[in-house]
Amino acid sequence: QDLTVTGQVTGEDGSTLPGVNISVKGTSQGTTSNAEGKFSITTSSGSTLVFSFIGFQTQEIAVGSQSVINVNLKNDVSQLQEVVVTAQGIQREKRSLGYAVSEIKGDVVNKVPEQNFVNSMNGKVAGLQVIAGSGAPGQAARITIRGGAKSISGNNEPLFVIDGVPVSNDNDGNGAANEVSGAATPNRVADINPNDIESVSVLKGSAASVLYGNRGSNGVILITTKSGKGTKGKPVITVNTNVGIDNALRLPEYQTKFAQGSRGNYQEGTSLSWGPEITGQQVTSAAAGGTTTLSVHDPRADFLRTGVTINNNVSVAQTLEKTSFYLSLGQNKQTAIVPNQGYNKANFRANVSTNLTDKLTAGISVGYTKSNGDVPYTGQDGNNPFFSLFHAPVSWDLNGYGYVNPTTGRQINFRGGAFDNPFWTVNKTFFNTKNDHITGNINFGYTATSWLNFTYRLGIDQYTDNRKAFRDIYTGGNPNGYLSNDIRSRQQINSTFVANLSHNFSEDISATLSLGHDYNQRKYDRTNQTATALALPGVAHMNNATAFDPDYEYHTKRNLIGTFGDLRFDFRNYLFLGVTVRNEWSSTLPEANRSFFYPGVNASFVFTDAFDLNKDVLNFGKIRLGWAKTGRDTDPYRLQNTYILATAADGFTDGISFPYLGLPGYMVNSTVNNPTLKPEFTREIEVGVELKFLKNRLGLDFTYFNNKNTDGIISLDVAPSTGASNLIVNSGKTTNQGIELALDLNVIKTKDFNWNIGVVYSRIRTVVNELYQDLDKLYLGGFSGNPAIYAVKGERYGTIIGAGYSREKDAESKPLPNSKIYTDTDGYPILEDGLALGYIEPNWTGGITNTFSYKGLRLSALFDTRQGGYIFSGTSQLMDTYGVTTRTLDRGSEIIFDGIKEDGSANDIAAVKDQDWYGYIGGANAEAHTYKNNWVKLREANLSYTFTIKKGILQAIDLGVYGRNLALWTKVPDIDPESSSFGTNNGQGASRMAYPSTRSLGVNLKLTF
Amino acid sequence: CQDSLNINTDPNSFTDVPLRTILPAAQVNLAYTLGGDASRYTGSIMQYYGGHRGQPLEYAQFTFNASTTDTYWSNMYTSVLTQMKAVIGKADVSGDKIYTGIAQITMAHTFSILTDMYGDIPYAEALLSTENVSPAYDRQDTIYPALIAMLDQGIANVKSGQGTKPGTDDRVYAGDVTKWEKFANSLKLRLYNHQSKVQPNAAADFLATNPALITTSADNAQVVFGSNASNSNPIYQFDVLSGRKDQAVASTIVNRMKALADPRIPVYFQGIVNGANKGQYVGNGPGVNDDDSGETKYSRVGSFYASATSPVVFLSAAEVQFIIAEAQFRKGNQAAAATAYDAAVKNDFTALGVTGAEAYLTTAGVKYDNTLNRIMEQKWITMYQAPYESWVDWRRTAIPMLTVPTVNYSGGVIPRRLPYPQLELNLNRASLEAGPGFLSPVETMKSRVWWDKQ
Repeated sequence: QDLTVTGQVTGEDGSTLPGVNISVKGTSQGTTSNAEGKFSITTSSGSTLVFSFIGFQTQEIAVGSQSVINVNLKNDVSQLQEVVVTAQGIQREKRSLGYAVSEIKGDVVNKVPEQNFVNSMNGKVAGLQVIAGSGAPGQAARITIRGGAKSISGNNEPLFVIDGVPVSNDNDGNGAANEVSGAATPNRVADINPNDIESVSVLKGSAASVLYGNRGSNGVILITTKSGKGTKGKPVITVNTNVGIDNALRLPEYQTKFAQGSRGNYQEGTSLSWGPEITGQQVTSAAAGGTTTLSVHDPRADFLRTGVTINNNVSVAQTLEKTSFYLSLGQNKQTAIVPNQGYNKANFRANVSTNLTDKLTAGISVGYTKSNGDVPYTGQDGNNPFFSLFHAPVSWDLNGYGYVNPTTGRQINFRGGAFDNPFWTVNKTFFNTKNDHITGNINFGYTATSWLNFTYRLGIDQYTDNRKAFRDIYTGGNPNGYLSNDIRSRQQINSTFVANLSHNFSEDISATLSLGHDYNQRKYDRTNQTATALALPGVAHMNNATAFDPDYEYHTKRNLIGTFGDLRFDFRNYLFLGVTVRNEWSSTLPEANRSFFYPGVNASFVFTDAFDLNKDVLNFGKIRLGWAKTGRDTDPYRLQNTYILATAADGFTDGISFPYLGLPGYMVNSTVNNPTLKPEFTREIEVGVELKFLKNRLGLDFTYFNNKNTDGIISLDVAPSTGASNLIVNSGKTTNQGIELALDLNVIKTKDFNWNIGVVYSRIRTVVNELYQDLDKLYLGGFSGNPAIYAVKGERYGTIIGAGYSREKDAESKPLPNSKIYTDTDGYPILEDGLALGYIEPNWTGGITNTFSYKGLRLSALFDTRQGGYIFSGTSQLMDTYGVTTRTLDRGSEIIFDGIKEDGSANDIAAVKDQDWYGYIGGANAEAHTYKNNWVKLREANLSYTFTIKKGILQAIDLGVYGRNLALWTKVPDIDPESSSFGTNNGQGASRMAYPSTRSLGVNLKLTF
Repeated sequence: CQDSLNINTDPNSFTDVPLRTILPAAQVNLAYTLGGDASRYTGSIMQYYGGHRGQPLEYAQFTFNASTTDTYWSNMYTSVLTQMKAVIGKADVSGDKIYTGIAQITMAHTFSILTDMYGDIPYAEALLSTENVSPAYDRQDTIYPALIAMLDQGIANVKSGQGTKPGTDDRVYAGDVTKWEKFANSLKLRLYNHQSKVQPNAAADFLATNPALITTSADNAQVVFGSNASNSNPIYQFDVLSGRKDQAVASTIVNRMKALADPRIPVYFQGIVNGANKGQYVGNGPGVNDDDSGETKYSRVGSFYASATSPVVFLSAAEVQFIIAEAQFRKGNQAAAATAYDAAVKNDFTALGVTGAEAYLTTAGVKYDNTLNRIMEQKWITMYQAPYESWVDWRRTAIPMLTVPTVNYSGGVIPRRLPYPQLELNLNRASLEAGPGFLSPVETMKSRVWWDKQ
């Protein structure tokens, strides 16, 4: 007898559950609950209804004669029906995935505040590595997944997706790629407010990211922002504020014995501290205005200060009858550890979703960030305040002598040349960036029937960065002054349509199919006006210019179209098979090669359910297997040879730019483009196991992956005698394999006290198998001369190549094992260029988080480490040359260098360790300053107490103290070995006068209403 | 769908440009490179420059590593030779033979300076781009005749007068074909004279054919720079605009000119800028590591060659007269040598706008004394304008006497060749090994090029 049954499905907490599957047992009849959890189904009185929903225990109810059935579903903990966001926003049960996905919750990334949330990912996800270039507020960080070496010379950073919309993570470095100078501009993903992050899913491998194709081949970081869902109708207001202080984590160790000068004589104007021992003697000093008594100062203390970070955030979230929303306002202000610099952000976010009808939902999500900063220059740049600060002599009274001559307006500096007095740098020059960044999307969902729904999302990501760089008249590198207005904007439009179909073939087998189409357009526009001479001091306005460079203009545009499909079979909820395919059309490839296809398959087997094992010990066990191929296109405009605007340069000066005396000039581009480019391809296989023991007390997730990357699109250096500098070719092969391990252990779990240990570990080996024909090394980045970072055939990806000691060699010019170093007739070691000094890839990285909680009290600490690989410290090299480090205190002593003379006999010639010695050992010798890059950091620590208030409008108060980069243990001298002077490019492993990383301490207050 | 993918045409550059826009780009590049890097390396060797810090000090101490000259070598091949080859390619199609001729003369000029600095270099197989990524190294004794032939072709082409006549886009002679012919002949004369150790009469034999040469400084082959920073002279950019302040002049030249009471001192050198010795002319000892970024100790290159608008001289009437003087000297024609010697000095004074040449030529250390030493010393002073030529002269004549810096990285000798660039070592190694051999920087600096016969 037919009977119409209606009712409502709710969860354990009383919230209504939309989308619950309701089927009539033994038939193919079924429906789903609507947005309010309500359902209606026609069945017969003797039948049984089955209510199933991801994350809840399936419940069966005999209909009998009931016409109203209200069901309360219990959470399913044992089954771990964890739902994660996967590629293209498709939600899947984690148990069904045949590839690794790591999900971290928003509070994990924002518990210890950090302006750039990317830096908060360190040590928390196995296989993910973040390198913060320095401690400068606003500075970009490089993030890589699984070694970040799939493309030999292309971009190796993952794709960032915010609420389903791919966004730009460009940092628009001020200089060209791989330069060691330029301003420390942010990477644009740093614009997101960490407080808005609900969760971050990391899709590590190709199998996981294949649906993003091209852009996801280096992995994908999916950020989901908060919504009003789950607020049970009441508005939830959160107010969060924190204040922190920053100081340099590590500074070099300085000698405080010897004055500025050369060869033992006191001398101002020099960069060297090879002067006399400071004994209180009288010297003639132009800076002091006559005779003065030499004494010891502390220029570093004179200049550096405590940075302050203030962060305020307020948000309100609510679910109304048909609409839920989340609104937030955030403000973040950070002052640097140097005067007059810092970085500020203001964030606004509105996420609204509503049910327009029972079947149609719509949402809008908008994030807006307004940021501005006065950021430093880095590395080998005259405007890097640390360059001269780091070698300011201890005899120089940095505060007392001042930085500007009050009568002439000229600079006062301890040295001459292009490296300014640091006070001049921060008072008379600036690099300002003002950015308006909007990301957002409009999305629609339509449930046509119980087995068919559609989603559509139109996203936009757009920003304009207004940069103004100013150097006053009498700045070292710009004696006539300098001003630049540089406007850069990027716009990205992304449209994605997905149809989801599902079908139950039988009680045991069901399938879902997603079919989609996406369109992506990226545009970049830049205009730049530069004044090369100024009329009046101190006026940073183009009306003050007396000479200009030719205006600069640059535009790119690229389109990418994709179609994709994802088919998934589910057998008894323990065996899953997924097939993914994608075809892509890229505007950057030639017509014949612009369409490319790649597939992926993955499988997951929950053997603990399949074999109905005893779950007392092992309560969950899963094996997963994934394989996929992905492709990558290239930059725009690499197919056709063109004439470019003429310039003349020598690497030391700004050189000539056309027009020249009113004449136009163009040149054959020395980079030879390639009309037959093909996409790069990656083939990756991964296997993994996920195990949960003792009712989830111990969780283990292990992955092994192996990928082969072929047809790398390389800008190949060729011998200049060919008349070209670079050829764009498809070549090269790298292989990359590694293991990732994550461990989660509840050591103690009682009602009041908990102790949890989380461990992540990864070990990755990337090998360069082939480059191009018989080429043995490919330039990745570095100083134009010595040293530089190369991909070397047969070696691990990234080798430091530079000058080092000349050693005994065999017939094939390879150094003999334990070979001696040759010395010359002065007893100096002989140097030679082009030596491989070490690989830059770590042997392994890991992190361990300990969390203790007792009632409302919570203490957690994260240690992370990197072991293996090498780093070149140009800071140490230069500072030895300048004679400011404690190492140079042995000046004047004699050394018989442990080496051999040309005739093979042991060196017996004593050399004096003077400024020539250190200038030679330091200046030209990269090997002497290349170190094993091993370190351990106390990355984060946090102590908080939550007061839960039962009455009144205030629900909870959360009060805490936190610290970041609290301690560093390493044998690398002078610097934080995590620093990098090559920005976020592939050439890492070298640091030269980098801005010190900072140690932060702060207090946090969070009020929940 | 296809329409939205057919958007890959670069809006920032051009698929085709006229000849008149490529020629000035290549000429300015050559001038910037010769006046910049080439002069800094060889000016330091020839002890005009005495850098006190940074790279200028390295050059003065003869620290020429393989990577030192990467940019210089690249600029010569890619920013000059490739561009001139493109000019020839386009002009052959359009029939603009004057452009072809100017490009040939410039290529011969450029190749000659490269081979004089390095010896054997890629020539016949060079500049073929993707068609040959490992060009062979040709022997210098085969390159020299090829360059003479190229100059002859260049002369024939400019004299043909066919096709479009270049105007201000020709930064050297504004399309004056007669002057181009004189410049090409003067280059030939220079190259014959370089062979003094292997063919002592080559220059004199060529002079006997009465070639049209650069005879007045108004006809000097040079590129003039502009006052705006992005158009300004390479020495000015390095010494002044960059703010580096690590270059100085060397005591060797300053002291010698002071001893001769040379009237050119005030335009050659800038007096000390700051401190007690302000205004004095003092050079740094060759290779002395003595930081003077405060500009209190040493002079810098002076106004004539280091102002924003200073010219970079390719070849001057003064140089031609010095070559004539040397050739006549070698033939034993002392009277003709004396005439040419005097004309050389006078031409240089005229070009510099300095008066007093007549009087100077009568002074004891200057008046022609029938020695090669006198000719070559005065030529050394004049060739401050193009130190790479002085370096050729020194290798041929050992004049003037130079001091080996106490601290040096050339194995205790004055370099006779530049080490091959690291880029070639890395990227064209097999050709380099098959050609001149794979030599360490120090060994290369000690070894001689073909015309530098022991």
